[in-house]
Amino acid sequence: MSALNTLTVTEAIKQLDAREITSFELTKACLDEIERRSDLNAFITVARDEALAAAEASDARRLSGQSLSPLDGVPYAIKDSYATRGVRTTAGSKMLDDFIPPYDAEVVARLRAHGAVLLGKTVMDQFGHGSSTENCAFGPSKNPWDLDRVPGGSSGGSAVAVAADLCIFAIGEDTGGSIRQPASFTNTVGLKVTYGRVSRYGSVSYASSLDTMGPMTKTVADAALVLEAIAGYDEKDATSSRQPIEDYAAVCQSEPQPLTIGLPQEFLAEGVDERIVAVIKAMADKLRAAGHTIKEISIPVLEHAIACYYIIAWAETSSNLARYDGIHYGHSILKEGQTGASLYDVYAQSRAAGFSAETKRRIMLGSYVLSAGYYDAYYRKALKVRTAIVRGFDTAFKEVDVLLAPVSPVLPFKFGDKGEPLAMYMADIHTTPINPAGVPSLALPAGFVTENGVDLPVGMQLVGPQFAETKLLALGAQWQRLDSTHTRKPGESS
Amino acid sequence: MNDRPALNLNDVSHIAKLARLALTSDEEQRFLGELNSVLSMAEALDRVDITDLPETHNVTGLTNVWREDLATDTLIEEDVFSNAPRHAAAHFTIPKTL
Repeated sequence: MSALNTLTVTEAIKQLDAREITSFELTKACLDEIERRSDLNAFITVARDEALAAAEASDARRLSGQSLSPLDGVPYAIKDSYATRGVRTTAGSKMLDDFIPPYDAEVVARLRAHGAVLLGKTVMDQFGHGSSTENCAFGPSKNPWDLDRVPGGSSGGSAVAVAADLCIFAIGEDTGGSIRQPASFTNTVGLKVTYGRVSRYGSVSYASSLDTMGPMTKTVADAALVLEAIAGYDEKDATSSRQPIEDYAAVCQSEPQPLTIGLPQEFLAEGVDERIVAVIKAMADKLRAAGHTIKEISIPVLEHAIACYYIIAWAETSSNLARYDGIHYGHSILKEGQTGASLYDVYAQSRAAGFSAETKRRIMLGSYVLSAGYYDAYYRKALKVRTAIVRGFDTAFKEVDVLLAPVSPVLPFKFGDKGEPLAMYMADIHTTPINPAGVPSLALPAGFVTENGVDLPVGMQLVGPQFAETKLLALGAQWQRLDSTHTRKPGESS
Repeated sequence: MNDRPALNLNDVSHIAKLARLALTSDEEQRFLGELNSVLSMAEALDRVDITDLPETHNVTGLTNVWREDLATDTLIEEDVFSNAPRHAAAHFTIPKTL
């Protein structure tokens, strides 16, 4: 029997139900593996005692026939951007080094109500500002496929925790690719949901009109199970949707209808690694052989979408991060007993000391694009380009059912390789166009590319119209029945 | 007229002040180059035809979202101030401003 921490959600539920294992054994197996693989630096905070206590409580419920849900007793990791009552929440930043939230994020509350066991909080680029975890104040996570390479970001720690079997499932957050790109870099599954599908309440805000909460898992079927637990309307998030939740898990069991799958040429243009293009072509061939129609299409606006994304993201983050004022919570010069400082000094010096260079850069950019005289040229124009992007997707989805595209134009890169801010931003060119339109995108393992003798994972994304999660999950689950890439683990030979 | 002129050092200081960030002169110098380099990506906006297009703020079509104004259980005072750097009774403490 393989180690318990390697189980998928589906397998764990089955074995817990059959009383073959206990939640305590399962949780302990994950905690032990987290400790054994501390070299990966996947976690900022591990809640060992709380997790074991929660697991014991879950086992007691199961014994008395009072399990809360199928997920009862299943251990998970969560990005450190979610407020967890009584458990430190840093958002990867020194600004929140000692912040202990007095309440749970809605996603955490729902998972708690389902009986899932929180293992700890994972490494992330601070406030979501990054694509590699190199902008984490607590050190970057390492890619288990090659320790010299980044795991992607910003939800890199959650991706590593899933890929290296440190948990049964994880939760990430995606503003411009922060779930999908690390999933792609680690051979795991990541679902960026439709905007508003999952409540944002209690998630540390990056860019509120783009932020989405979603599962990061070992299989597509697992993503569906987790989504069922966290999706749905929440009155505490005014932008959450009243669209009914669908039976996501059931669609993963059935064969999908033949679909028309579009390959947007803008995502296969110059600058995309040819080896990644070869992987998508092989995937398209397999899907065609399974009865789907593959159609090359063009959505010209996508080529320019990254500028729209970043301008809106900077603007919103400069506004959201204004809350870190050195007065209410977070890093403050007032704590150091400093006297004689003016109110302005409390703001400016607390913020200067608490934020990293990258976060300051984004706040500065946001303040600039919103400032008098430049608002029209940057921010207002970006909001209009956003409309063009929304319409571009609308037109495409009249022609095709879903889109298939690479998640990243490049393979997982080495630490320090994207030192220039612009180079790091451009690595997001395939993920950032999705968020301004609010459409869902499922990233899933598609193949491997060998570089210098090391096999590196390549992920693809299936993109659908708003609230078409079922379509993406059904097709993704079918893909995982046709192709076994997702079952490969780091450290195994091919 | 170029509606997106390059930033100079004064602009960087001004933005830092707006953003309430105390920057060293070295940082200002570094940000000057980096901000101008990154802002060059905005040129892409000019390549999209936005004639007559409205702005999009919310993508799922929500406009005003109301809820009943009802009293509910919320955080207690102790929780609200539990992370405050300085507080006295039920107040956050700040430097004298007048």
